[in-house]
Amino acid sequence: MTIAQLEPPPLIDCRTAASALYDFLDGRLPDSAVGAVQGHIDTCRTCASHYDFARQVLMLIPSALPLPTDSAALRERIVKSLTAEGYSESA
Amino acid sequence: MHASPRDAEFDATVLAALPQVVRFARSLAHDEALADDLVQETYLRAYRSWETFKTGHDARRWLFTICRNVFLRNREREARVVDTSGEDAELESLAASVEHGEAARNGLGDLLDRIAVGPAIRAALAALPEVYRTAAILVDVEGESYESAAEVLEVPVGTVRSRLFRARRLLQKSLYSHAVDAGVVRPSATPGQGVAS
Repeated sequence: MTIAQLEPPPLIDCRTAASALYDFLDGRLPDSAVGAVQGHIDTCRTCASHYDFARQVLMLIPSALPLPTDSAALRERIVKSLTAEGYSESA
Repeated sequence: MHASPRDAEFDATVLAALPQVVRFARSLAHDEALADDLVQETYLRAYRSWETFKTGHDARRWLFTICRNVFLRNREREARVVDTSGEDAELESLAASVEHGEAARNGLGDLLDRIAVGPAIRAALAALPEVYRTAAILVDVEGESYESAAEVLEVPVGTVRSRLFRARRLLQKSLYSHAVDAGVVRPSATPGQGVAS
């Protein structure tokens, strides 16, 4: 292990942490910046609160829009219109 | 009747994605009947241009692209012309954090535990302008990457990023408003309206 690897991540302020919010949550922040953001939210209650809130919202969005289960009639309609174009449905 | 190999492949690849296309179309059109028409038109176009689809590519992404193009064409391309000047992804993230700070100070910190989140998110997504809603649906609901969403929307990845961040910020604000409307907090505690006394 080198000395550089033992060095703590650089300190960043709330503004910088806030600007990095969604890139961090989406895993799109460069590796070199992840430690600094993580270090900040580990020690800043305000930023940690928003990161946690934003993470929860992002997790809840997909379940708020479940896949429709009522598309059988539409499927039938589509198959009918495709049949007019020469389509044959698999048995 | 036996399906031709072409139709069997269309079945397995394209028709199998119907639920996702229906969800995407409903997020665009808002109205179920209109969304159904949109999906039907999408499939008709997909079938007619099936030869252009490259095996191994993402059929769902291809269908989303067709669906959105049909939707925009039906709306006479009004949504294609979007002024994205002033949209800055970092500033959107920053503003979202500032607004959250205000909301938390006003007692909205645990609002996700105090409101019916599902309906609130659905209403918030439905209220987003189309360009932002589509970015959020593709990435946050359908799980597409920024790059895939950029392909569907025919915009640079950076534009997807800023639209997505704006969408999330607006969604967050909408959830705060929903909490106020639901009586979870007093109206004076809405972010941006000052701290309640």
